[in-house]
Parts: sequence; structure tokens; C-alpha cells
Amino acid sequence: MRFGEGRALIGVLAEPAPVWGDDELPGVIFLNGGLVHRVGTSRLHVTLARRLAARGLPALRFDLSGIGDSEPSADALSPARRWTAETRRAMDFLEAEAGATRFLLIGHCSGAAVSYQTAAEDARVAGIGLLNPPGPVLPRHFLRTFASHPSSWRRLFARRARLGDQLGRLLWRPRTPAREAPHDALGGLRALAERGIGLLLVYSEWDPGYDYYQHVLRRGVEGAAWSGRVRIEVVPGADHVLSLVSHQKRVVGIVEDWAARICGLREPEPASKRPLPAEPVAEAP
Amino acid sequence: MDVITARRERVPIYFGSAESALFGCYHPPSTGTARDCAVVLCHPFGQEYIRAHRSFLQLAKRLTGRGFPVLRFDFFACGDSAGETEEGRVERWADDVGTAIEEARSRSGRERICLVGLRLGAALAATAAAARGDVDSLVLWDPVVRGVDYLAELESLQAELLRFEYVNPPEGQTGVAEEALGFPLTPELRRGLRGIDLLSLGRAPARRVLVVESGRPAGVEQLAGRLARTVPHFEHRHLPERKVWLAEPFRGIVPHPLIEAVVAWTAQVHS
Repeated sequence: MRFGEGRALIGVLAEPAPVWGDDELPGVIFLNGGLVHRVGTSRLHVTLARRLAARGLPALRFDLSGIGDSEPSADALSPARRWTAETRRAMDFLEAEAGATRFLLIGHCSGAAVSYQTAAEDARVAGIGLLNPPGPVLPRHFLRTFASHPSSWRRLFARRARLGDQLGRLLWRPRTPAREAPHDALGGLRALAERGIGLLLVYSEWDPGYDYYQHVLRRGVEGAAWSGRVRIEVVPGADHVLSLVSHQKRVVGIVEDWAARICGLREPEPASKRPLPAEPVAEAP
Repeated sequence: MDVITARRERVPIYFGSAESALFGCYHPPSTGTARDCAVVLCHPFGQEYIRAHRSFLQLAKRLTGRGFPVLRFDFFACGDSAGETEEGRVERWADDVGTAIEEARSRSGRERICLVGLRLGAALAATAAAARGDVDSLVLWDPVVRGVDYLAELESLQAELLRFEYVNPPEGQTGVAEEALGFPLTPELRRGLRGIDLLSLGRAPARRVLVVESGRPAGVEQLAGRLARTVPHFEHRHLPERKVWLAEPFRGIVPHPLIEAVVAWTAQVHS
């Protein structure tokens, strides 16, 4: 599928399987994490899009401009502004193509940031799934990994990391915390939740974002009146990019369950009865 | 020969059988001298596929700029193609190369085919070309020569990941044999990979072959020796570029000199 200004954006739509009784199901949009193209880290977006489509949700994975197969943009916007605008174009596209009027945005790393920013700007967003969202790296992240994960020491002994660098990380303190956190993350989450948006935050145990959650966000979320809108999950043993298949499966299960609850979906059909994922064949030139 | 001046955009497509369709991007030739040959690009496997995606797009763009129509495609159970990741099989992938060749022919109107493959994609391209006998030219970019060496390399990379990255496998799982950098290695896939051996191909895969490598892959010297004896037009180039299939995607590395060498060779043999 090509869409957006000049048809510069390329995506693949997993068409929804027909379901009974759910007439207003949201569309799902997956955002690029870093420079990984639309299939997602270890093909995570493909797996998730097809799972959710099999349960009745139209699911689009597309490339933001300059990433994957989409054309680079010549506009003068910052990447953050441009990618938010492009995500809104993706919603327009899914609205026209599949009739969706509400949306779930799901993204890993920088894709989580784009999801969050778009939700702040567009009332059509019903939920955001943030997988290892980026945030300020706290000094205690380095302390924790050094104290409790043997890879830090193995890197040193194998001369994959220099002692000075490792010590530097331990002693590192952010010089300008305000610049590290240009916005009030907790306030932003609260504003979204109070608008009725469902929030999912998934952290890998060894991701720096997990420390930020534990030591900054957590005390503001727990017990808050709006915390019912927030679901936090931690994947034990996982790294930032979910390098192990078992960790990917855990995340797929979490996201599918979260989306199902937000949308009020029924239990999935047994695998043998599921239709094959139907994805559109783009038109010939 | 026609000179093409109109800029035409790439087209995302699904092709092959409806129940197990393959995803591809068809790039019509953009400018330059129109060639009588279509180029089919064969991706590597797993994490290497994700890391090489950007370079393959650049390669396709440059080939279209020299007048070639190009088809990039995802193997079954890879990328955007149909199939769960666990369903990947070497035998099916070798057939996929043939399906992509027919698609490139029908879309481009060209009968002649050049195959370009990286790593496992190169092994699959060479195997399919030797079996079919209708591939005009072949570029093997850092090819996997023997599947057993490739499996050993994947296991070593996985062991390295478990040793040096911040990750813990679930209790009781070593994670070395069953998966490679985020992608499952099922027993069926391992069996298929072990069967790959470019040194025992029955016949020359094409009349014109380029081996270009930046990493002295295992077995490449023997392969080059055999191809030099059996292929009428053979060239072997070593270009010490970054190994794009080992670089994290966020680095955005594209080995331009190597890509340019592939494009120049292809343009020269199809001039």
C-alpha cells in the first residue's frame, strides 16, 4: 500500500477477519523502532498484525519517511514533527481503507515515542502500546546492570569494553536533567489516561527505561485515580530488542491480550479454525 | 536500446500462490539505458535480512538508475511474506527464487535474469540457478558456501549474544541451538541448512558469475576455484567493506563501494 503526500509512504495492511457483533473495532498501526523497517524487531510487527487481524482488527505496519521502503521527505520539519504527521496520515488511510475511526498505536523504542506524541495530538487514538519506550538513562541503570548482570564483567575481561569507559558510566550524572527530559513524562501519561486512552508500557528487565519507570514513573502511577487505564508489564531477562524468541512470544501475548481487553474482543478461535492472514495485493503499475 | 526518462515509482506487490504469497517490491527502471535483463535480489536470513534491508534498497535504486528493472522479495515465512517465522524451510526458499524469477519476467517483459544474493540468499540463488539452468548472470555477495559452516557461525553469534548482551534465557534453555539472533532455528530448518553445499552443485549456475566478498567467508576460495574452471565469465573480488549483515540497524550502514562494484559488473555484462 502506498499513501501519504506524494504516495511516498509504503505499508502492508493485514485485513481483519470478519467477526460477529463488533461493529466499531479500532485500527492498529505499528511504528518503526529506530531504523528497523516495518516488519519490526525479529518480525514482531508481522506476527502481531496478523494475530490482531485474525481477531477482527485491521492492522497496518508502515515505514515512516526515510526508513525502510518509504521515500525520504524533503520537508523542513523535524523528524519528530514529521513522523507524528505521517502517523496521522496512516490513520486517515486506515479510516478510508478499513473504516476505522479509533486507533491503537504500537511502537518499540523510538516508535513508542511517536505513538505517545501522536496520541497527545490526535483525538482518534484510543490506546498506545509502548514497548521499551525511550527515556532519560538514570545513573542507577548502570549500577544495577553492573551489580547484577555478568555481561558487564565478561565484556571487561574479554576486552570488549574498556575499564575507564565502564567506570565512567558508573560515575556518570546527567549534566542537564531538564534537557534529558524535555517534557513531563508522568504528566503526559496522566493527561492521556484522563482522556480515556488505554496505556500499555512493556519494559524489558535490562532496558534502561525499566529503571526510569521504577524510580521516576512508578510512584506517580501507582494509586493514581487514572492508573486503571495503565497496564505495566516487565519481561524478565529480556534485552532492549527482545533478542530471544521466548521473550518475543511473551510480548506478543501481552500486546494481544491488552488490545483484546481494550476492544472488548472475545476469546480467539482455535488456531485450526483461524482464517489465513489476508493481506492485500498492491495494484500493478 | 531505449532511453527511459520518466521517473517511475517502486511498487509493493504480493505474488505467487494465494495461500502462501510472497511480498516483493518491484522497481521499474528509472533512467539510463534500458537493459534486456531483469535483476532479482535475494535477501539473507533472519537478523541478517533486517540488517541488510537498507543496503538492498540502495542496491535496487542504483540498478534501476542504470536501466535495470529490479525485484526485491521476501522469502516465505520471512519479512512481509506469508507464513509464521517457524515455517521457514530451505527447500521452499529455493522454490521461491524460481517464483520470483517468473514474477520479474512477467512484470518487466525481460526474459534474461540476473540474480544477486547476499549470504544465505546467495546460496539459495546459486542453488536455484544451477537447478534451473536459465539464469543469465549471478552475483554472490559474501555467499554461504556450506550450510554446516553457516550453522556453526550462527551458533557462535548466538553464544556471543548470550555471553555479552544484557539478556537471560529462561531457566533450562541454552538458546544456542534453537535460535539465532531473534529467529527460530527449527530442526527442519537446520536439516535443510546442513544440506547446502555450493561446492557440490551439479553444473555451473550461470554463464557469468561474480563473487564479491568483504569477509572471506568460509569455503569461498574453493568455490571461486571451482567457478573459475566451470563458468565462462567469472570474476572474484575482495572489497574490505563493513559487513552489513553484522551491523546493528540503527547504524544505517550501507557499503557503497561494494554496491557500486555489483552495479558496475552487472551493467558491464549486460551492456
